[in-house]
Amino acid sequence: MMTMDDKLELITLSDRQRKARRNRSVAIGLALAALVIIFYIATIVKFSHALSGGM
Amino acid sequence: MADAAAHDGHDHRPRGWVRWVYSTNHKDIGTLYLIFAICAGIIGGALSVAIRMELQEPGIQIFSGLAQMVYGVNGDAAIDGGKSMYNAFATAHGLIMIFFMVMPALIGGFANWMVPIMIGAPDMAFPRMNNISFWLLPPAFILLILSAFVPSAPGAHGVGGGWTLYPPLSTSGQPGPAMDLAILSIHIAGASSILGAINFITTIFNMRAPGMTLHKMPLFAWAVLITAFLLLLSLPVLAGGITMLLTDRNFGTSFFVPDNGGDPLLFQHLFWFFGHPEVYILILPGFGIISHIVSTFSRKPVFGYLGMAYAMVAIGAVGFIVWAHHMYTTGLSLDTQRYFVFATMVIAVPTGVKIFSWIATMWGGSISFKPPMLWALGFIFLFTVGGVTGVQLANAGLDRSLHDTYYVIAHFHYVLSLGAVFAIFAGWYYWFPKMTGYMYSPFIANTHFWVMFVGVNLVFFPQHFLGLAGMPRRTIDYPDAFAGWNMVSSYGSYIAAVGVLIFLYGVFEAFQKKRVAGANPWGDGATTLEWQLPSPPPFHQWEQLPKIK
Repeated sequence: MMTMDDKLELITLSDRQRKARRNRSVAIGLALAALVIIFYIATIVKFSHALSGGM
Repeated sequence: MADAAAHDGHDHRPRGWVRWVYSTNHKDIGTLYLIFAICAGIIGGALSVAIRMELQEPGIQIFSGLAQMVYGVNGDAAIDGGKSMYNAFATAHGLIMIFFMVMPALIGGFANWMVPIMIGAPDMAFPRMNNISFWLLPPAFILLILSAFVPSAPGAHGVGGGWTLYPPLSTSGQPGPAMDLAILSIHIAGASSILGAINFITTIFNMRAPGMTLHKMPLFAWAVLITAFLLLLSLPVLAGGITMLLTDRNFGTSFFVPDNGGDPLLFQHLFWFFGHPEVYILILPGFGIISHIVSTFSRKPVFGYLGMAYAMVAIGAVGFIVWAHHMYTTGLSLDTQRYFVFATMVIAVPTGVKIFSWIATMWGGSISFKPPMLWALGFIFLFTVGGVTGVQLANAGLDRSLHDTYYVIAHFHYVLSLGAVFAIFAGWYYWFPKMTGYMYSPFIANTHFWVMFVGVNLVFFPQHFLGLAGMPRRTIDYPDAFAGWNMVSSYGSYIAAVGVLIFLYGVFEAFQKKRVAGANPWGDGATTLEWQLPSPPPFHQWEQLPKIK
């Protein structure tokens, strides 16, 4: 684990870096949301063998 | 340093209700979560005290009287009404404490507050989604509370089938709208948690300060990252399962109806595929908090940092392949049971790594027993007791006689009620000065600890004896032979309730006295980034990112 210095060096991101970070965030977020939807649908579809009997 | 790292001159914050309702600030949203968790915890705790009041003596006294008052019935009808009300209280207690107290406190509250600061990020990756995550919770909670006041089983009100929602009790067994409201409540709370999980994973992967590799990241951030993955993988399965419950109840499907080719056990598999990772979701953030506190108050870096991080990864991964140890008595084949016994016991290894590493961190350290450390030590002891009984219950043979007894209640309350909740209080006393800028009274905090410690142990330790003697859970009455330990257990709950009052008074007192805490009240041992900022931190922090060496 990191330890702290008394003097932290501070960095300012350029607009381009901020935008790239935002785009990466959106990409990761969408990928994770897609995973959630896949797991949800897979759960229902995988176990839907009993569906026809009751409809 | 604290001032330099703070963001100067741009401390513009919205005022009044707009600040809170429209908030996209991770610290404000964290505060909202913590307040919500305290309110839900008081309600959930009050339900448990009512349960213990009923169980203080054999016979049915409190709930039959409540049914008389609420439903206006007498005689046998009052007793029957009392029984169903007891079941509704027990179910609501479980659901509230899990979904509306522990998860909002640890993940929504502390993780929202501290993870961005600890990893050197200005805020969460998706601040507006963070707002939605929080504001989904109050309606979910209201739906659950509403469910207590509408019909469920014939002649009963409120969901009374237990927090596990097993069919057929959750389908044909309780045809009234109470179950539908509860399912909708869990759907919404689950959606809130999924959005939160996406936000935390993205934040931790993409918003870390320059130089902060995963292997330099604070253990609390590691814990939250792993917890978020557990949420992401397990909650959609629960959502799928309870969606199927809803369609079985309302649209004529037969996922869990054996008459039409369905299988009630399928729900148990789906539920516990979520439910077992859920217990690690509840405890892993606590592990992270405890690591920081033990390290801070031993004035030593945590022992075996990488081992601690990957032990959490291992616990999370193995936690997904042990679900059927909750189902030993459902007719699983012996080979299946053997597998689940073995896999479950394997979890004791990474858990042991963590406990021994906490002890090794303290070993040779300059330990100060300030309130957070006291709570952390209490956590380590109580969680270990609960862990040991967990290893016992992992044995399918032993579980034959202990399944659904008070032994199980004692076990999971030692790891959750005494483990996770002690971790929450440890985190509260550790970060309260950082979050508010005020130092609480150590005397009140210590008194709170000792009263709670005595209280909760009196509640739950005797329940081991009751379980071994065969007292089943989810029953409103019991034979006279169980009276003694039940009385002790109930007195313990009253003591613990007094502990909660002391906690609330301590919060009030801290805000009233306004003792200035300073940027780092804990000294050299507190090394993570939040202690580099003033207390409370500025409204926006790290707009200039800290470079980690």
